[in-house]
Amino acid sequence: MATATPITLYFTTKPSGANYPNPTIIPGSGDVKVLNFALALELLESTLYNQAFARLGNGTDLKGQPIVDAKGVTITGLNVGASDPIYKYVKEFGIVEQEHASFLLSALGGDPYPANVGFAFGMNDLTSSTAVGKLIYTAELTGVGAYLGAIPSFVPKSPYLQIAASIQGTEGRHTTTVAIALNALMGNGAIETAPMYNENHGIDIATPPDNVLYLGSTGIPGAAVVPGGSALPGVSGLNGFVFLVS
Amino acid sequence: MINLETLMRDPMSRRQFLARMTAAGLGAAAISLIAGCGGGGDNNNNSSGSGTFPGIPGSGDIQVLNYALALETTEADLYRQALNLASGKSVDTPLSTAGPSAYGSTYPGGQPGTLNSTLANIGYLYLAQYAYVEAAHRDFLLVQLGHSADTPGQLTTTNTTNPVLDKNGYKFPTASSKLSDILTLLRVVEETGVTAYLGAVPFISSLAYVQAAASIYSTEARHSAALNYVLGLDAGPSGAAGGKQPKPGAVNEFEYAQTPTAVLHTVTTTFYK
Repeated sequence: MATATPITLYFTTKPSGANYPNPTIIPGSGDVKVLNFALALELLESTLYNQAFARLGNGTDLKGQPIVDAKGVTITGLNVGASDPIYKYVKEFGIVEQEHASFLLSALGGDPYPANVGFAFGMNDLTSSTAVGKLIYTAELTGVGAYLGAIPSFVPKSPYLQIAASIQGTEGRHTTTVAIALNALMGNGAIETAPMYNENHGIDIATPPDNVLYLGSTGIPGAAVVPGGSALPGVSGLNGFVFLVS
Repeated sequence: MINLETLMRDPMSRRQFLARMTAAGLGAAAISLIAGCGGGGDNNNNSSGSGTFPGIPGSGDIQVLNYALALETTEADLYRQALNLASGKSVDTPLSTAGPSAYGSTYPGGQPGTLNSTLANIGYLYLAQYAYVEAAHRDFLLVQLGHSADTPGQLTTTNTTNPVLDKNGYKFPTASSKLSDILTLLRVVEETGVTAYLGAVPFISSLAYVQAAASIYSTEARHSAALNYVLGLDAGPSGAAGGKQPKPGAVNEFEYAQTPTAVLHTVTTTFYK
């Protein structure tokens, strides 16, 4: 694959001076383009977990190293303790997301795109495991909708449809498990574990790729409702996936 | 980069693809996926009881959707029976028209089994909620299929706006009223549903139908994760007999797929009366 344009991806408040390019910044065509889109999501998620692990722990990431986000901010640790309901899953799911990303990199031939991206989540502004968990929940739920929304972009009967779906299911599991862990902190019923019967026939909602990439500039469609039927858990400043060409 | 759009048609590209996947440790998955994809055109059998979807009426994508309908019809009825068992009602009782809130927000029974009170309460809450969700999935497919809707099992409704119960449809294969036993069985049902949908993907021609099926599929995975949580198990996916993954041997990283034949054997022998 040709050398990709370096990009920086932010996930929180729209950075000053940011523009919102057409999603054609995702290189390739057909299945390759979709896989690169998926890779961008998986890299975002795995980095989110890595930074969240550092934030909830002692400031070191899953490899035991200090971590600096894409804005140059060194993440500090909250030391919430091993019994914290969110912390328990951050390490487990973080490793899974790393595996998803490395799998997609392999499938794409090990080309570095978009390995030269950075992510900033404003992690040090999140002062509790509940706040970190809400951010993870929203990212995972967005991931479910993003995978669904990407399906029409595949070549019909592509073998990658099944591979992408096999990842999508785990994103759904992560979404639900983190929702339950949050409910343990916030009270049962605070966040739905899955779409209810009277919400879109009880099925997950697809978010088209353009919408995933543009959530940062348009806000979450439907005001406070995230696709999937769950209330947006009110992460301050959260704008979704914001792709910023650097 | 291999042009994936020609992968399925060009033997040379296919060999390059397999070489690359093998180098990445993914060879077995690539071979099985290509085999599955290439065989996707052979599901144009009718309801003769053989073929890719044995016993499922229709052909092409309609047959795949009827396969989904068979699964959702089974799930919906098993959940209905399970909710009746857990709430002390006769298993023949229809779902309340008042919705899941009619069953209360805490476990009313005295047989939590292995669950503590916290887990019994959320497990019961999910049971009530998901019973209605699975019925909604069934009704969604009925509407999508219209006159093409057909299933080898018993439909528990004949009219989606005025459900009529057919109590002779499915058997809930446990007599235990312990909540942990009930949820353990439903967990198997949900996990089987996940593998069934994923295994059906290579046989769907229309991307719109793939998307519709996948929209149901990931909620099955979410339900599975919730039941796993209540039962003290890993979020999963934790494996399936005969199932295949994109990366064989990976733990909790990729969902498993099962063939429609394997799923239908399990469903019909376990849950059909």
